[in-house]
Amino acid sequence: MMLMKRRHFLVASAATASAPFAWAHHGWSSFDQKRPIYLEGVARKVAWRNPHAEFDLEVGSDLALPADLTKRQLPSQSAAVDGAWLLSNAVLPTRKDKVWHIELAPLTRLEAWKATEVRNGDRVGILGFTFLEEKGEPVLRGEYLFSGNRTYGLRSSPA
Amino acid sequence: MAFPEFFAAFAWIASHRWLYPALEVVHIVGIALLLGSLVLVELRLLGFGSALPMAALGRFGLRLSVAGFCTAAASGAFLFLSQAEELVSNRPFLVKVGLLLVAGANAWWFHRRGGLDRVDAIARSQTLLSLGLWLAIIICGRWIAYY
Repeated sequence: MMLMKRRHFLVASAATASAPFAWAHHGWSSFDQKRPIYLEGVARKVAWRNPHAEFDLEVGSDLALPADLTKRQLPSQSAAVDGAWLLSNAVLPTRKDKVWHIELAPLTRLEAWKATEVRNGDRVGILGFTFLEEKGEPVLRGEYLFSGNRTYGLRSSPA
Repeated sequence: MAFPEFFAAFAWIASHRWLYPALEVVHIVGIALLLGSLVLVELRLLGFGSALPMAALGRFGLRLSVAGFCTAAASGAFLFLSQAEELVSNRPFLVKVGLLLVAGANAWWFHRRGGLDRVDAIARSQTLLSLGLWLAIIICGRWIAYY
């Protein structure tokens, strides 16, 4: 019993310690990182710029989790991100906004991934976080971007 | 030239891979230089470190403060221009600009009524106000990204 408790404590501590990674512009701390959200749709108003690339995502009313989501291969990156856990715990947002604002990463990091610039009209998938209890504006901070048959990590540079 | 087009002419700053972070670096260096020297002079004005000569410390320190302010203001102008349309509707940014004007007026009044040669109760109040204003300006500046 003691052993169980201690293990839980260790797991919880590790999760807490790895949560607040620095971001070039503003922190991750206001985003609920225990609840990965998946969105898919058409990119609009793309601003490929610093301090982070961003765009509006038009989400269809038929939004659903892709059947292959949990089987997707995520590229390794320098920060310790538990990609498999994120994929298997991904959910759709409960709020039904048609347009979400998506924040990606600084340009230098996107270049490190050799990311192809997202264009207006591109269909992309994104796994990320929004504010606790989905409060506030429909903003999603991207953790992984699925664009043109490729997947990019957004928290850190490729390993 | 209309305003949106004028600002659009500076959008490339944010699209450049390292120019934006470089401007952020210069901005922080400017803030460090301004506040670092200003806090030293202001603490001296408030009576701390009285072993240091007021006049010499004040002249040298405030020169550094002006250099720091110019560094921060120049880099800040370009950071602003790179996304002016968003910033003019960003409340912390507007508060920051307002506080900068108040800090400028406070400094102008301090020097007009005698500056370092007239360290009385009013001058000390202005010094405390200045410290508070610059701290608030830093808070507002950082808050821009969270608003």
